[in-house]
Amino acid sequence: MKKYFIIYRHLVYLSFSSLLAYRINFFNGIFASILWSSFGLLSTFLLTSRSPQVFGWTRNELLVLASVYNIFFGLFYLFFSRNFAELTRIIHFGQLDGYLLRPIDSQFSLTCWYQGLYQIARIIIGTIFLVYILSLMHIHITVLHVLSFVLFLIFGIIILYSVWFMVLTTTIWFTNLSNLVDFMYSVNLVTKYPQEMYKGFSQYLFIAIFPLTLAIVIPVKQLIEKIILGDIASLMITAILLFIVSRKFWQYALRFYTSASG
Amino acid sequence: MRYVRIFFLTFQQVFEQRGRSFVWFLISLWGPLITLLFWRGATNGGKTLIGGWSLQELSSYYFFMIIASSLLISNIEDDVSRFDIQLGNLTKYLTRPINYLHIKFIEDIPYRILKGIFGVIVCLVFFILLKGKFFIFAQDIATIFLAIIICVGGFLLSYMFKMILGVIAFWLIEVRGIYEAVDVTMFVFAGSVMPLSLLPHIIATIGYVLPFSYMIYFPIIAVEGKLSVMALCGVISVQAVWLLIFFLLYQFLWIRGIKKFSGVGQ
Repeated sequence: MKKYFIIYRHLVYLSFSSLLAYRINFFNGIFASILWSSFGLLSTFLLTSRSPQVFGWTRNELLVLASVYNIFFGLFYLFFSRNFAELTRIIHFGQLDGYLLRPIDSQFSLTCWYQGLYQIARIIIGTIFLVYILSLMHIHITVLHVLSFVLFLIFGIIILYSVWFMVLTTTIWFTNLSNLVDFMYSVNLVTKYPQEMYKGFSQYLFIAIFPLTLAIVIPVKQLIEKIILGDIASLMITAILLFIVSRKFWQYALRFYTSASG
Repeated sequence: MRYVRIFFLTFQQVFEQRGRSFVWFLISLWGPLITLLFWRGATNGGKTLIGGWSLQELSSYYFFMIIASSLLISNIEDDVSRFDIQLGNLTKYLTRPINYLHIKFIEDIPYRILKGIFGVIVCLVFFILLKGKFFIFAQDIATIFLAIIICVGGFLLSYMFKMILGVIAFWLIEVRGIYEAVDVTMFVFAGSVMPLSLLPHIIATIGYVLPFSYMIYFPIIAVEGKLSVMALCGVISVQAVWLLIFFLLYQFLWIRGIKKFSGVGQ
């Protein structure tokens, strides 16, 4: 375990060095992060401008959801999204051998190598807007609220990481579908809306996307004091189960990998 | 004749990669469907109106959005900026006796057709499952004919605009920030988030002035028969004006940009 912490520290240092070496790329990334986080908030603002309450959620609660969406995906994109894009490219070009031969876990090597540090802009914007909306709602936030919110956010990130990893592992069989990672960016939209939206439409749809509906909604419910014990249990159990399944699936899929000896 | 052959050759390549095209299509399918679920809640399952729009009208709008965003919106800018200009593939086009604008147009059409077919199939499935209840179509021949012209105009506008974005790479190495800014702007002002008439007045007014609504929003409501014949002619006129502006701007940028271009080892 200590070995992985040391390696990760070096990787973060390399990412930071790369950021300083390619400053235009960094500013471009910051600009794109600011744009998309602003758009996420703006689209929720526009959608709720005509309906003050949807699925039992008030407009302010939906804006809290949109702010946490920004923070959540700022964190996810910071730590993982670039690695997943690289994963599909590596599999597509048959370059996985080099990663499998390393004396470290292949899942760690492939999904934790790069960090998108410019996503910090998205996290900052999300946090500022969240604090503003919570103050409008007169919700008093304690240290316990923040700690439990962060803990639930981590479990939510584990759920999303596991889902992404399982879906993108299928590129071992379907090597041409390296653009699945772009599809996963659009699937993330599911997490932006309350569970009630899917439950009310179709039970089958709800069951199919159930893990994704937990990722952000449960931390938000914690903040707006709507959470129940069942929500916490379902979040944690789903996160742990999905992570185990994704890991087993990856190890199973590796049996089918064929390389280009690159 | 040569353009026809190029079209069929490109279509062969595109069809060979139909799995990838299907994944690209899924991206344009997902957003409208999720947003439609939101409107279902906002209208209390169709019991209330939102700004004069019923759930049926909103559903029809977003179902047509699936087809429109697949069929009418070009994605040629990445191909032009990254592969042709930055990686030097433009050289092979410059040595051919075919206009670059024309050949990229012919190469883009097969992608639009294939994604459009996916969109039509999906909407057909919804049409059958929902017994046609959530689809609204224009009824008279004149409106249908003008709507088709508006759809073609929408695609041409999108194509010319994206070509302009592509040739910006003659001057800029990193264009991703500009493309992201354009994507966000188009999402709002093309009516992808919600119909322009439901947006706040000032945003809607900006949307009617900018060309993006003429790429998606107006083609959709034209097909739905929501515009009179005079209004349809007005939309076509505005599309023609924007097309002329984009064409002249493209020519201006192309003539200056090609003098800066250099391709090594092609």
